Amino acid sequence: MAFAAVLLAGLPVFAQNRTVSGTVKDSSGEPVPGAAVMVKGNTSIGTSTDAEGLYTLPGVPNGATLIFSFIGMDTQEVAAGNRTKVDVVLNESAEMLQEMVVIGYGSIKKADLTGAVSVIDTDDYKNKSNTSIADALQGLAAGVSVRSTGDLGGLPTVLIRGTSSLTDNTPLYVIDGIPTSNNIGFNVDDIESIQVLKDASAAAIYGSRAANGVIIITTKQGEAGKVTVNFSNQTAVQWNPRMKFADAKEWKEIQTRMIQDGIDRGTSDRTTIPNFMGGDTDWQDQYFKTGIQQKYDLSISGGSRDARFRVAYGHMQNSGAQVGRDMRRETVSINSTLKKGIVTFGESLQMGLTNMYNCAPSTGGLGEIVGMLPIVPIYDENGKRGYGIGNAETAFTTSHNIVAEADPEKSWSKREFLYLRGNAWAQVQLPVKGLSYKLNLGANIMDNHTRSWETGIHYALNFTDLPSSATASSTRSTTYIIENTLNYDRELGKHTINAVLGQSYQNNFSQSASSVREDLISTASGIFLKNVSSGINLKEATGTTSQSRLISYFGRINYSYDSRYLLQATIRADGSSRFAPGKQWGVFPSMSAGWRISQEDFWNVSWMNDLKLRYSYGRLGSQNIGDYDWMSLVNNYTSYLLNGDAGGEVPGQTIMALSNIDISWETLVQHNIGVDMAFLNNQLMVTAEYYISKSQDCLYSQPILKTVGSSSDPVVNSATLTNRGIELSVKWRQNIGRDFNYSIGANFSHNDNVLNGLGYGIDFRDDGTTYSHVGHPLGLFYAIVSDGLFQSDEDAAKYVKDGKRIQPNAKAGDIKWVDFNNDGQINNDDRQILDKKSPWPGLAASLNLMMAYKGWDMQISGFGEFFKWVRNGTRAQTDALNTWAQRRSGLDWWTPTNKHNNVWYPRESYGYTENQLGSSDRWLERGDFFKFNSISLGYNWEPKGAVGLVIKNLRASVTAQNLLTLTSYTGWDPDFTGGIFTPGNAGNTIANPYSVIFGLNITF
Amino acid sequence: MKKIILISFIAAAGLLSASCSKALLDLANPNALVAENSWNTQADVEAGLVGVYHTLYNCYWNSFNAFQISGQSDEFYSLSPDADLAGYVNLKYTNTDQRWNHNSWMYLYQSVFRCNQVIEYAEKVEWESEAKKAEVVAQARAMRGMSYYNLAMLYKKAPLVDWVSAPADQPAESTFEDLVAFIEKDFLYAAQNLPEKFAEVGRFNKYFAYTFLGKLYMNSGQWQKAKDAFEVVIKSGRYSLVPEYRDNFKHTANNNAESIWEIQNSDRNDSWGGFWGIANDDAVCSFTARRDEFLAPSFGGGFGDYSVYQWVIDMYKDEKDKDGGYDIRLRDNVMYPEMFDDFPGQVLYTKYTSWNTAEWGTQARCRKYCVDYYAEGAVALGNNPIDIRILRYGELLMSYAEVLVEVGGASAIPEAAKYVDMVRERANLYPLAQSVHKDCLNDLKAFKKRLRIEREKETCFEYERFFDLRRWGLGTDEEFTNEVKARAQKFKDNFSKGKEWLPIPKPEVDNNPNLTQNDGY
Repeated sequence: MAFAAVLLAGLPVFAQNRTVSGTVKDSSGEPVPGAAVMVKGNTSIGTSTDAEGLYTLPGVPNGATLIFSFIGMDTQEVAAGNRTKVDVVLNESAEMLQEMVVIGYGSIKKADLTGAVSVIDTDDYKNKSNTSIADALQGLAAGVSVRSTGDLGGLPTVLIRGTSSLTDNTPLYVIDGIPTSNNIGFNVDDIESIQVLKDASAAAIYGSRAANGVIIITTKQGEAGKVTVNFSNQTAVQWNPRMKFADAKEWKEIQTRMIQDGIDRGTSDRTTIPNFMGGDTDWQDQYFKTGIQQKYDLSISGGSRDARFRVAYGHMQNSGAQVGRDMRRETVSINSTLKKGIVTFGESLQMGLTNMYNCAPSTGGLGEIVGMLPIVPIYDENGKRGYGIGNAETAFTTSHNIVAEADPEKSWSKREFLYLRGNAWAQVQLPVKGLSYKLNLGANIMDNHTRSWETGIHYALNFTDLPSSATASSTRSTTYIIENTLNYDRELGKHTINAVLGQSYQNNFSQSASSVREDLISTASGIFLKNVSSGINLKEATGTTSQSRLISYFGRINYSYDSRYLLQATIRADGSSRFAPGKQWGVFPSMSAGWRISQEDFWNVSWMNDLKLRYSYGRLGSQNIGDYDWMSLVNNYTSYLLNGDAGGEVPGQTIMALSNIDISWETLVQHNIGVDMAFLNNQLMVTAEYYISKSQDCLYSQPILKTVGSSSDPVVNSATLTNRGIELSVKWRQNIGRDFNYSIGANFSHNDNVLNGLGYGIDFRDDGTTYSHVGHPLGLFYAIVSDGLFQSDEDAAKYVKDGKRIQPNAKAGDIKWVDFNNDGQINNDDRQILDKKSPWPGLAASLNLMMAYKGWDMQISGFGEFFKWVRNGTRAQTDALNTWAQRRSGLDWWTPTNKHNNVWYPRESYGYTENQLGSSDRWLERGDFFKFNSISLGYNWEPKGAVGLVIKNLRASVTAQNLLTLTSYTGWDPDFTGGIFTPGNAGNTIANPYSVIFGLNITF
Repeated sequence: MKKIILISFIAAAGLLSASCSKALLDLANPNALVAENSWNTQADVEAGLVGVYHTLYNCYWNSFNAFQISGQSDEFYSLSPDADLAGYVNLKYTNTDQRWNHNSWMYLYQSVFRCNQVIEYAEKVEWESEAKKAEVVAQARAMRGMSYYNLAMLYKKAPLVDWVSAPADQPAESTFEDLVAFIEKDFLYAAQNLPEKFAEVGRFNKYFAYTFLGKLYMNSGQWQKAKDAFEVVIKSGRYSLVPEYRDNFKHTANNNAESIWEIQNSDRNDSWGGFWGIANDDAVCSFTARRDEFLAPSFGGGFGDYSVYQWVIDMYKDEKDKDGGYDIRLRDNVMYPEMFDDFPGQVLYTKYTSWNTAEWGTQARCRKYCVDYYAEGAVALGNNPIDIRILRYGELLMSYAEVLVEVGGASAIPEAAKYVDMVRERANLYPLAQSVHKDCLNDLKAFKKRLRIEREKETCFEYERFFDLRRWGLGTDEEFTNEVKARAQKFKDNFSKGKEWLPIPKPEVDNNPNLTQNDGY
């Protein structure tokens, strides 16, 4: 509707006085499109420049002064006199300082900021392929860690300033003022700007949901001027990193040696070398494929001074880099703004429809490939229905044959995800100068429908076939928001005041339903009907709803004196339905202050243009728990066949899970000290931050004693966590001549995390391979420590305690383990906390280099983590030579003729388990890496002459994404997501794919 | 216009002011009932009792009890590639938080928690009669008694919780003797307040309580009391041996005359719900027993984690039956390479009629409670519909025989032999006096030894073996311990004094200052 209104509105026409026209250019002589041109003292006469920087302003009174302004440039006033042609050159202001930064319910000049905010330059990620907002953020902001996933349609994990919560560390995403989540349904191409609010004072206005940081996104808006059409295409060729596994010949050699050793030693249950299966299959070849991702975006935007719009359509399809996977997405974004007198209306609407297809949904993905054996043939008449599967004697694996599984007549799952995010708003200029009122109504709807079916046939050893079945499930989550805010913006001499007072009401509702039927109708030859209704037996039918509400009141005041002394104070009160009556409300205040020393009269340092010191303090709240966790629930599913099967189920009830009625807000208290500096004519910008944040009363499902008898662990305000860290951002930019400019940006950060306490008097948590102990970082490795290899049987026999052998079955070539508790035996009680091999990186760094020469530009960007250790779960599988799995190729195993002291490659024998202890340091390795996530070359062409009338700009680029990673890590990818308590444990997750991307962007 | 907006803002703010917002924030849970509203009537408590019975579908009762009591005994060893599981079965705990052991403890206490709810809330509602109330409470106490019986028999000591727990509780440990006294009270109350028979076959009755009392007394050295308790059951005349031994382990003969009490299983839902690690409390409940899934060989669709020691097979071959064949209980209890020769005409999993050594190897497997008599595999998702007989008359007769000689000494041998012979007769064996073992009737020590073998032949792979071994002297009597070590290599390799009890799960000890680990761990 608003869109139609824009079309009808047209441009205002004035038929009197004089018409002034001209060109607005910047200091390099380039035209400035979209610059505002107004008559001073009569702002109703105004226009803006077109794409060539040209403007025509009718109705200018004689002797008028014209005001030319554009974001990022110094505003100029020119006395037009009697001229009809006025050309101006606008000078770039100290750009980064004049930039407006969106801080939630308003924006502020960067120079006046007192909190820690990272502004992402959208140019920095434009060459990459970004399926979600989080992908775009990777490596672009200090203190913002983005761990990627290579799973098609998967979402990266974003961590801002370390782990501050034990339940959920996901930051809050706010798109055009409405809280939402990072999700696949939103098109990154629709983003105009991204800012990351990192400290408590910056995030305070979002109080209750902001403890993990806030990512604020503004979508692209139309600009006043001619209608602009933009088309872009991105075609990416994607393929997965692989591991080098042994082929059948090498695999059999390794397996033969190991089983023979087990037989000689007497630890093997096999008495002969098995007659291995005769296949020779590279299962990675069968699983991985080259994927093509194509993305098309078309947008139309434009508008007048009073009405602006943008409509965009995006299409993306990805054929998947693993067998049987693909996805498609259609997105639409509509924005418009209309101004009528004192009222401005607007709306922003994004829709995304994503379809994801998975042909072998019931298999374990990459884990199946690692567990499979090269000797298993793809096709085998002695196998199952013509396919090769494991065999207890000749090929002992229970992994699935992926070729057999990835058959659409065997099974598939199709997920359709509809994402709808929109808000409509109206802002009214109130009679008090500088005071306005805004009503903002928003909705965020996520609709997931999944259909799946399977024949029930499993192509793996030891899996019994099941009845065929079809499933349909759907979940819809809706969030509605009503916000009322009053804004006051006033400059009184040297005093600048900006204040917000507001109230917000948020209602979250989700409903889900699922049904499963078994024994699908099929033809005799095995062609199945695949819908739920085709199933004969009802297996499951469920439906649930869940609701929560949040009511908030908030206020913020920013005060600046002469842009020298800056002050901000915020307070927010939130009531959440997730807590029991009496525990629902939390109040979260914050304040911050800044001093721009460089604005002082005494400041006289020519090479340093800006110096600002900032400090902030704030409290934020979290309520990342279930909607009804404070209630002790009764389970009514506890039925019993009191009178046997024939008698049927008699329903029962019981308290299934105890709860804690006293739970309330988790709070985070943070202090931040920052300094912003600009040197050498603003060519070098440096920002440094130090923060210390303490999360108190963390909401957490605390494991309680089993003697209590609760079948789940109740949520309790228990743990305390501290994060301390430093962040440094440096950016250098320089123009050399008119044609060449370049910039180098780097971000560095370091975060220390300490667990200060857990609940119910418990002071540790043992996760097997990791240990979280009060006073130490979360999830340190907890492992039995190796001390080289025994070089001879005598060596092994000499390893004794009180005359008794510590490892009685060890022989030459076996790992010597440290008997840490000195009890004369090796077991899990010998695990040590390895605080020197931290799973947390000692340094995270990213680098971004950009160069432009005439129409050419080049970008190299990358990010990395250093001084961190990883438990390589893949290696623990492939190198555990007492089992059957894929083997890594070409390894230096210990043998009597090849002695060495490397515990990674001990003597291996079947049935002897001591070399493969799961909680041991054998599986730990350095996880340092630096990944070049984008190396690209682009060319911009602005056609002249006849072509130039149609095409304003054409850009072509080619990008290599993730193609080069510097690391010594031997698993799939050192850039992975670990758990909260197992941050360093890597498993068989699909690594971020390599991509070569061809981009084309045309503006008409 | 301006005014309208201003007014709407004020109205909106007013709408959400403190008084109204309170109502907006108080949301009820639409998916489950809240505990505080759920214990108001007799019907609520009766439903709570069904919730108690429901725990019989949790992982302890549907499979872990077999692993704990039979799997860890001298009947089984494991060659599982899962080192954690193999270590557990073979008594080589590298980790006292081993998951099967930990989960057994956890599920037993979940049963206790639910029993305590019924017992406590029964006091808060109005009852149609005191008798009705006593009957409901008695069933909850029967279940609590059985749960603590298992805890005491596995772990020796355990915290006694007889109240509705709170999350922060750290209950103090009780000794074995205290536990026995507590369990006795529960079973005595049950024995006094439960009817001889309920209309519903699945409920605990009077004889359930007496049988368990007998077992409790027998395992705590109170022989006379054990004798009295068993006698009540025998004299009731309600139970008898069924003609076909294997009918005790077939779903087609669930709730037969030999069953004193069994868990009511069914294949009506083949859900993963009851798999290990899950309490089976979801909307779709699994009503099945899952032991078969783990015990069955891979050619029968099982995981094949448990292998049967050779001595079990040899044991059955110490005599022939009246027709000159082997003891049919060997056929019904064990799968082993020679089975098709020893018992011609056998069919495994409805299709195998010979042993495929090349593919199956030579390990013997458990056949008891196996679905091989009607299914092509072990029904890996747990479609096993066979009721688990927790109390079986055949076993009770063997216990009674043992109790008789413990109380009466040599003079009780003829009386005890009478009950042994009832069981032998069903297996088509000659009475002891006419058998190759007749000499044992003349010597108390020999007879006791014979009883142990006869008991094992009848009850192998059921739910007493680990307890039997301890009662007979495992860990305390050197001769007997050596006997066990001689037939089961894992005891020779890994057993040491103290391990006749299981370790208390490590986190329970670490996090409860009032609980200590058992000696030997």
